[in-house]
Amino acid sequence: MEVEVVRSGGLAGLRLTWTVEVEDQPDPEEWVLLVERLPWSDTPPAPPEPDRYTYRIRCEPHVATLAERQVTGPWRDLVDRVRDVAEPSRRRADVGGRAAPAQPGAPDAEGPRTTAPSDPTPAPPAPGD
Amino acid sequence: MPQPPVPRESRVRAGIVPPYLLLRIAAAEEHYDVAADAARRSLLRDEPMRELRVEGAHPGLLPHEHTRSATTGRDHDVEAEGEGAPVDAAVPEPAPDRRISDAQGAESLPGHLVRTEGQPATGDVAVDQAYDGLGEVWALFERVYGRDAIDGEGAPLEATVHFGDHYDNAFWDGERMVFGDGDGEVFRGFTQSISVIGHELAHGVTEMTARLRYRDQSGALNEHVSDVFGALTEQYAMGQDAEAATWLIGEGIFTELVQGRALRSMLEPGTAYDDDVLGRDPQPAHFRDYIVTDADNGGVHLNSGIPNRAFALAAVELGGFAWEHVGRIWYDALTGGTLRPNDGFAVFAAATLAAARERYGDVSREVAAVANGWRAVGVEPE
Repeated sequence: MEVEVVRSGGLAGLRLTWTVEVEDQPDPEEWVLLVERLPWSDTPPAPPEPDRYTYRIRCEPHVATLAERQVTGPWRDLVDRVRDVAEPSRRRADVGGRAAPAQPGAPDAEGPRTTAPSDPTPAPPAPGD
Repeated sequence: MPQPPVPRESRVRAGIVPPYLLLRIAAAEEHYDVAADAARRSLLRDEPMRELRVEGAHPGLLPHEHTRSATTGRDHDVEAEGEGAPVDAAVPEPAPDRRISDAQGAESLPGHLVRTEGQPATGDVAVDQAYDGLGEVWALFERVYGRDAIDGEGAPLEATVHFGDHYDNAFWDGERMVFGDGDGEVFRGFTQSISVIGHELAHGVTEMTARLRYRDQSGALNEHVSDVFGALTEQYAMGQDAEAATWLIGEGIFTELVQGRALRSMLEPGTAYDDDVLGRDPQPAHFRDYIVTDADNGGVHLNSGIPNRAFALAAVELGGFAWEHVGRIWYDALTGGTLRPNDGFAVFAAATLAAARERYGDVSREVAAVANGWRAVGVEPE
């Protein structure tokens, strides 16, 4: 069982990911208990606060997206635990190829994005997320 | 949230700038923009705002008062307020009303109120940096754009510092600016940078005006507007013209361990840092590279690079002080009442062009520079 915490947003827009393999922990039962007690289905969308962090917490089959101010109680316990035992990774899955060295002359590859509409349709989750 | 009943000693609330004076300022500025630009620039150069930062206690904004009388008093339409003439005693100078609280390392707001308007420096660096920085943001909005504080009516400017334990962020919570001390590894404290303080306060102004929804393109515009006024605050405080300006957001925020100059570059998005740990600044500089993501409210801190570059390019093309032309155009667009919360880049670009035409005329350098800026980043105004 894997627990993943992704923190995005923030003034700097830097994204951090912590991943914990529960079976590798000295106290896997406690982790399982904590995860099962989380109110996964009770996470109403919160109005975003500019520059504040957003957390996406995933433990298959569950996933929840929380504003930082919603990360309280058992959610906070989980996030604190994850941060205690795991080193954050800064990989940027969402940026994909763009993070690689510049691709001069490749604007066509991004063609569809140039027509990105100004409507409020939420962007789809990045592949692999 | 309970408001301690702090008396507003030296300032008179409400209105602050009486309507007749606002009309005069507007009238004067109409002339001013076309006629006396050079005069004001030289006057500003003579009194660089950086002097304010020497004596931290009172960026009581004295040097600005000369600027103000120059902008409002010298014009032929407003002889009544000639320089040196005693100002009507019933019309107090507008002044900021700053309130700095200390969360003392907890993640609770607002924390303990530790410094209010007019009180001397506390010796706590973050408290005093926040106080001074808020004074500079207030000065930009009030002196240049005639907006007294976030709401335009002189409401208190509230900030909390020392939020959380090694908290590596700063944000706007809808009522106040909140600053962490940084983790010490990547980030130093967040009050060191005037552009960051300006950025946070500008979120409040956007919330009170165009209300750009914090998601996807409108969210990136919300971020962009904060970067614009964050950068302009710094330029105004330092007396820098568009050429001399760094166009960086958050310079000095990274520790020396990080290979990078700042969080973002408005002029050259994607170049602010390139670090072994942080990676490379991911901001796109052109609309064809718009990043579609679900994280960061739809990449609001990434895609803001696109309008940021349009703004900076227009400012550099025009030269001189950016807050006087492009900044004013953007302020007009933001507060003009035409933008809707879900508007995206194309509509926003059109709003800035309309604002430029309104203020400077259809055939003007300003309109051309703004159009060139948007064209350079691949945004077609609609």
